Amino acid sequence: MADATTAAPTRAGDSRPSLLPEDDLGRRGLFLMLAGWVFVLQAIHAGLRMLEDVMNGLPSWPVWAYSSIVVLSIIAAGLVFSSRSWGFYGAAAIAVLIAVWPLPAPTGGFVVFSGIELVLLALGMRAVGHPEAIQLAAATVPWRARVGVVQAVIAIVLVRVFLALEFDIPWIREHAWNIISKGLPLTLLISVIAIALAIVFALFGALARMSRNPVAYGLAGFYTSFFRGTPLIVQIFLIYFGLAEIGVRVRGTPLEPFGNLITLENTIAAIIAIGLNYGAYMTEIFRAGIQSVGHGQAEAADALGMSYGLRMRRIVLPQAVRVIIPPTGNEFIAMTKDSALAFTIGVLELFRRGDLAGREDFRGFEAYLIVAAVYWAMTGVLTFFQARLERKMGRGYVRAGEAGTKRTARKRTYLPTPAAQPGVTFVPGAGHGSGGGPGGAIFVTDDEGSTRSFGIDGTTSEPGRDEDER
Amino acid sequence: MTFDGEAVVKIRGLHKRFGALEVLKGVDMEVRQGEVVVIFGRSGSGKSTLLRCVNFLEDPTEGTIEVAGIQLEGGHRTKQQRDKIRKLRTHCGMVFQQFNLFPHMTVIGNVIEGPIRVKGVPEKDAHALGMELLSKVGLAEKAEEYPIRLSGGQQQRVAIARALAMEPDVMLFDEPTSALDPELIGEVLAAMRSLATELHMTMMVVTHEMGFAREVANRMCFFHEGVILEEGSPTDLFEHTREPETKKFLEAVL
Repeated sequence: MADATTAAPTRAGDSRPSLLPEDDLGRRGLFLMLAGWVFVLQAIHAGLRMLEDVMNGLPSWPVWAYSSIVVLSIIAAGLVFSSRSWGFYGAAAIAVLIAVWPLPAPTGGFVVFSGIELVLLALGMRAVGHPEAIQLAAATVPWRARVGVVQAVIAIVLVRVFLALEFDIPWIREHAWNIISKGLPLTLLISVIAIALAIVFALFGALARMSRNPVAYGLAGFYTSFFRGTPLIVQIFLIYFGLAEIGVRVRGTPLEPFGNLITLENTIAAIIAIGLNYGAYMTEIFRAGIQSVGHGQAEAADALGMSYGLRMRRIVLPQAVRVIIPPTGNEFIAMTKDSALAFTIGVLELFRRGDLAGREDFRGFEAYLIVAAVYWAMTGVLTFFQARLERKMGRGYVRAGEAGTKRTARKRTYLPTPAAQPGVTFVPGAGHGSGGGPGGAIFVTDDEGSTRSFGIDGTTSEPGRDEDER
Repeated sequence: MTFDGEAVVKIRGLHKRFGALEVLKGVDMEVRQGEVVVIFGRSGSGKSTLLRCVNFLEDPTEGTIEVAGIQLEGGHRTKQQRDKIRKLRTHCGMVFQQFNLFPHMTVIGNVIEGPIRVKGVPEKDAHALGMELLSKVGLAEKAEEYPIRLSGGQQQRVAIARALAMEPDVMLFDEPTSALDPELIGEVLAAMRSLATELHMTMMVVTHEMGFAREVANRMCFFHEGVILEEGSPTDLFEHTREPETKKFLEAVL
């Protein structure tokens, strides 16, 4: 950041204010940016205080007063971010107005907010009249930090809303472990066995769908069509209740042992139904993955004298797996969540455990939140392992130097070294790098015509380091 | 140089139809031990199809193919015939225009895959043979790399080593340099040349590299509309061209 103080000569005869004047414009802009954000926080805080006071039934400010603070704070934030001089003074005026608000019962906090805002505005005053200052400052804050702030605010808001709405934390403490320890193992069991089944079904389904054997092709076509074309819950009921009824109908006939066989435990019925259903979807994934392996690969294997089985096992499937893993991971994540449907046939898995506990004490909100949090954490863990597996499978597909491009590009800072005779342009919305950050980039061209660009998401590129050249 | 030995490849009355389109209209050809045959002609003349029929990557519609004493007719396939085709293929090394290396295996893994999995060679022996072949094509130090990190020319040389590792009786080259940048063609042709001159490998080469043909080929076959229109030594073909079509083609590519 200290580099921001570096003087960059302004082109002679150029009356526009230079992007990088002697003053540390970036740092001044940063104060303005922070002031804007404090206004936003103030608006959020006012809204939450209103909610808390209403719920607590406290004698406090009327709702319209809180609402006014929310609206005024949002306007002030907009004024600051507008980067206009009058916006700056307008925002300062609003800060003063809120600080001296002539209403009873100082429920607190707003004077402190106004104080912070006024100090930040004062510190950033020298950047007033430089519309690019805030964007320049934003570039100094790493993308991750900015996202982190937003996520932290979301978390704080959620917690305060829950607390204001009489969220029963002691109840959660008391029941969470019980729900999780009884329900999670069964949910995991269902998911893991069902995905294993689904993979087996999908592999055979895919090979059959590519087969020239009409029996195999026809059977696989029927399988995928039926299980993709009907709701999962209908399939669960069909396999649990439906088959059990067949079992009753054949009682006393020579078919009775068969009838007993298809009368299933509810957990087993759920596993089979979910496995069949997901296997049908994954058949198409596997088929696409196998067909994505180039025809030349099969020919090369054939030319070596390989049999069909050997060719599949050694050449085609290992390459197909790389394509198959990401969508299969998604299916597994979806399946983990759909395992909750097993509750409909009386399986006491995670969701049903939470449901029962919540109903008993009229604590449904708390109970369902626990359940949701556990599913969420589970899918998070799965996503993590999926990403690792994908990286491992990527060996043999990465050229030298490509690995980690994203990472190295991310950690660079934005500020230019002084160019001999620079032309500097800021292009809002300009795409930069491969990162998914919001657009915007600063382009610095030196007199030899070589251009460096600095994305406001903190990425840079330099001549000779263009990604294309690798 | 004459070749009196046993014919390694015998092709009799070969026809190949794709639906209504007849690509090969009766081809007879013999390739003897140690002979280098260059097959050339316009695109669509059937030269690649001929090569692919030799190891049954394309099923001949009619005719007989014999490689290293294994003889097969074109037409419908029984299980026994499919096994026989696989046996025949182990006697043919094939090099493709697009290299077709296995991207999920290292260079050495590509080379030893066939010997280990198909011929059942012990891994140690296969590895030793593989390294020897890789040094022959000048890529021993790349053995542990993955193919994507190699240049096109290097990949094609690995493909040659992979085909050689099966210790084939005949090598089939299907336009081996057509997918390469001009500056990489030389290294592949050099590897092929040393196959012919040092190992006395029997080779059938579909190519447009007329310099290579003149220097290395023992015999050249000009393909035109599904038949061999003219064949002979490079001297015959280049200096005493008989057919006007051949003349036209050579003038166009030289």
